Amino acid sequence: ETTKTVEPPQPSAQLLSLRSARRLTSLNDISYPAAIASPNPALNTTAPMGKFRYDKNFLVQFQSVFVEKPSEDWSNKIKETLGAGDEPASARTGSAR
Amino acid sequence: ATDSKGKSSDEPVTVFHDKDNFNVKHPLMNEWTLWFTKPPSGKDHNWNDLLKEVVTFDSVEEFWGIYNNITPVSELALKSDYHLFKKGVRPEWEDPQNKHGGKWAYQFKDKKAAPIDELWLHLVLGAIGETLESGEEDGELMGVVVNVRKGFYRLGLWTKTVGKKIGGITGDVAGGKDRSEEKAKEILMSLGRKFKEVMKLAGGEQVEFSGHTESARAGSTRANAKFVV
Repeated sequence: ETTKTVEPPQPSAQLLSLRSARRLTSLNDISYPAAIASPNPALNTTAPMGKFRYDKNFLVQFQSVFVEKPSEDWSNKIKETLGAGDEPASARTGSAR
Repeated sequence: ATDSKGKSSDEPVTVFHDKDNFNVKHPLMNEWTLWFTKPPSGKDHNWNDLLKEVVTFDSVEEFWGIYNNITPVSELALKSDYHLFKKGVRPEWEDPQNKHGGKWAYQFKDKKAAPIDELWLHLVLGAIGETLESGEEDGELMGVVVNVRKGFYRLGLWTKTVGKKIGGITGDVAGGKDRSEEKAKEILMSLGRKFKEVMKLAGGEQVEFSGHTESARAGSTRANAKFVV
């Protein structure tokens, strides 16, 4: 019986970009590609620096563009957190409230 | 103020310009935490063991990375919930920031007919895009919830107050002593109308608002609708 070696997952280029990207402080500096609808400016007329509101039509455009898992261990984390309730219950019994 | 020919290194490049080599991201007004309630698994868990914090995020890009890589509501087991709350607020009515509050809620009893993934997504986008409230100063929205049950899906929108003042808060803010009852109620009603709009409900359908403590006392989340829209 062989033990599979699990290679440490490598972050994707997209995830690395996300980690190093700076937070926009103004939406006015951005000229989006022609196919992309800009955020509705009426939502941000009184926006303080870097505090933006975004309309649904703007937000849904990211759906097919940012597709990477948010962290290298995401799949395991989701399995642990959302997975079927088959974790050993013993570790949790008698926990103080 | 960059020359369009000479690609300066700090020229903003969004994920739309280059999905793998972008250098700016779109910040959200608030940090949000996604929570999950796991269905009980035979053993007598208490609810606190079943409520799990999944992830916290504060940009549009991060949100989609999460949304695109997590189980859709339509595939969750019965008795599961997703809760998306402002960071630092537990999705329980006992939380200090929820205990004076209430919620707008609607049950979709025809589960097959309800486009639940789309409804939940639109509610979440309203929350993180901050378009459910008319502005940050409203200060009522705490989070949004979806419950998956045998007979229905329920969507909810939690507020900080029930339109009343909370002791010890000053200013024209949610629960503050300088916010009039009329204004407080109008903000809650406006949230209810927006909630109903996102749910795409026909005019005859009603969404109901109830206070958390009234609900808890009556032992039912459907008790004592305080407002309807």
